[in-house]
Amino acid sequence: MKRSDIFEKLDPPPGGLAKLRVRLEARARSPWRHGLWVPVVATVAILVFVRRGGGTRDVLSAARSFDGASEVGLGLAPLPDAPLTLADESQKTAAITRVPTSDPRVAMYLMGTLR
Amino acid sequence: MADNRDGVGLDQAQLERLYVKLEGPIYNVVYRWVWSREEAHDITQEAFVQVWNVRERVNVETAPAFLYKTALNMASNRRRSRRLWGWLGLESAGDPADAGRSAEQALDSARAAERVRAAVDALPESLRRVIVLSEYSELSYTEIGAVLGVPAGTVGSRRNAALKQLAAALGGLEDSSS
Repeated sequence: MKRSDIFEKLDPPPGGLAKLRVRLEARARSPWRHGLWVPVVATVAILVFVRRGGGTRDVLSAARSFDGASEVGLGLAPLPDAPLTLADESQKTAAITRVPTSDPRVAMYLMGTLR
Repeated sequence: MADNRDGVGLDQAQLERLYVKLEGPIYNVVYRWVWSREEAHDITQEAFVQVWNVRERVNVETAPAFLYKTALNMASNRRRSRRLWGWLGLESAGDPADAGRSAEQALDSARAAERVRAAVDALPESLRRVIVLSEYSELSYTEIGAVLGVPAGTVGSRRNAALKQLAAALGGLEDSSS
């Protein structure tokens, strides 16, 4: 195969400069660039703060409150050496399956249980 | 308008001159990341807008390297987010087939383009960045090194490694002149 076929030069669509001018003008007119984002972000931050203060429990604390949780943590875990399996006593009420991902560094499992 | 008396700061005329000069090369670089003409055009434009946003701090001499770096990062992010959508089964279709060509020609062309795409996509990102920039950007090895944060010698060795991998994947590479 020829290098020119591999590295074929494509022409961008016409009118790019005119479109760029429109984008720059739209940005110049945008209220966000004039500092409107400051009160908006502050309001959102206050709402989040108020909501958290209103009693929503931390995820980790909630998980630790369940009986039988042998370990609770939040963070990146190393990939398991072998496919995950359920303990014998769980196999009648639960199923686990690995969900394919496009990134080999990510292992994701889907678990369903009957209650 | 930005003050550029000290060589720092871009005004709109300078940005537009850069756009006229660099639109094509940046578009081609970005296209090899996202493989969609529409997205490549959008990212190219957005990179210029991003640079315009920080124009007071941009030196006109180093603006091209900054533009390439910005565009590459945006393309890389877009590609990652597309992978996520693809994983969720929501990926959009690619570019439509070229109009005005016979079905056979379009099929041959699509097959060749797919082989090239697969070979380029299979390169590790560090090699892909170097080969795409060196083929399309008109930047020197030193300037590419500045964009990627590696020495010029590393740019050269990565480019050779990338060409070798492409040649192996595509059954050899001929120079266009031969």
